[in-house]
Amino acid sequence: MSAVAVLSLKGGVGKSTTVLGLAGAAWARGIRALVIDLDPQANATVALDPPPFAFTVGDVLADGRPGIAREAIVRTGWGPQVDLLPSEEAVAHRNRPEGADSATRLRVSLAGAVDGYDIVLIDCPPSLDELTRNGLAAADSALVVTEPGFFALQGATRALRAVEAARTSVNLRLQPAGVLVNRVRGNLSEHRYRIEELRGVYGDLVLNPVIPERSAVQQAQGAGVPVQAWRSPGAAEVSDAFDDILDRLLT
Amino acid sequence: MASQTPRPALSRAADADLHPVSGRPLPAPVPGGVKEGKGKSTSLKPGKGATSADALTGPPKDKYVDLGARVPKSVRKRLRAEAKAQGVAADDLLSRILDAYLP
Repeated sequence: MSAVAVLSLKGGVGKSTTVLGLAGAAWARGIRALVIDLDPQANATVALDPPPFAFTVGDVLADGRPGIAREAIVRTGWGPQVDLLPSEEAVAHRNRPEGADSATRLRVSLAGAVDGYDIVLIDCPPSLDELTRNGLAAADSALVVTEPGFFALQGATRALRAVEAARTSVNLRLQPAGVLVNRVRGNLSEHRYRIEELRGVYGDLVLNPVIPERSAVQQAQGAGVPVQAWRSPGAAEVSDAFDDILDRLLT
Repeated sequence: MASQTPRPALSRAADADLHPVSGRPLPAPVPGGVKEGKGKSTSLKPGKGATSADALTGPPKDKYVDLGARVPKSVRKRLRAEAKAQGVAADDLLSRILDAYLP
C-alpha cells in the first residue's frame, strides 16, 4: 500500500482534480483506493458521491485513537473500488495545532485501517497548517500539483520545501513523488515555457506526462463519475495521463 | 448502574456542528447524514443499488409527480426558507429529505 499526499500551497491548481483523477485510474484498473479528504471545502467528498455519512475526518482527528479512522470510512458512488474518509466545512476546526500529537493524529488513526487498499490518496487543503501537516505525516510520498503559470515555480518550490520540512520533523520516510503540472494547454507557448522552466530547475521530479486541460474533467466531476467513465476524446486523453501517473506512484 | 447501550467507538467532534469562522451552528443536515446535494443533474443520478459511474450506461430516470400532504405552516415556512438558502426548489429539497429519510 502506498499513501500519497497531494498538495499545493496555492488554491485552485487542481489538487482535488488530481486526487479524483488518480482515484479514477485506480477505479478503471479495479484496484482499491481510499481517498482521504482533508480539505474543508470537501470538493473530493462531493465529487465521490458518497451515501449519507455520520462521521468525517474532522471527527477522526479530534479523537485520534489508533485505527479509529475505520469508523468513518464510507463507500462512494464510484463503486466498491474507491472508498472515502469524508470532509465537511467544520474540519477547518482541526487546522490548528492541538497538543503535542496534533500533526500525527491522522497517521495514528489510520493504523490498521488502510491495509486493504492498494493506494491511499490524501487531498490536502491549500495551506501549510495542521491539516496539511497531518496529511504529510501520514503519507509515504508527496505529490506537488502546479499549473504552468508565472507562479508555478515559486509555488512548487514552497511546496517541496514544506515536504522537506515535514520529512525532517513529523515523517522521516516521506519522499517527494514529483511535481505534476495540471491544466496544460499545449498550444500555448507560455505553458510550454513554464514547463521547461520547471524542468530546468527540478529535472525528473517534474512528472511526465502533464495533465492536459479538457472540459471533460469538469463534466465528469459535475456528474459525480470518474473521468475514466466519461466518453469523449478529451476524457480519454486525461485518463491516459492519470494512468501513467498512477503507475509511477505505485512503483 | 452501567448503561446497556453500547457507546459508539467514534463520536462527532464537539465543534463539528459549528461554523469554523463564526462559531455559530452550521445549517442542520438532512435526516440520515451529514451531506446532501451537490448541484448535479438529476438525470445522471443512479438508481438504488447502482453506482454513479453507472449513470453513463443508462440510469433509470425518475419523474416528478404530485404529492398531496398537509404539514404545519411553520414546517412549510422552514422548508421554503431552507430551499431558498440552498438555492434549490422546495420540491427538490423535500424530495432529497424524503429520499434520505425513507428506507
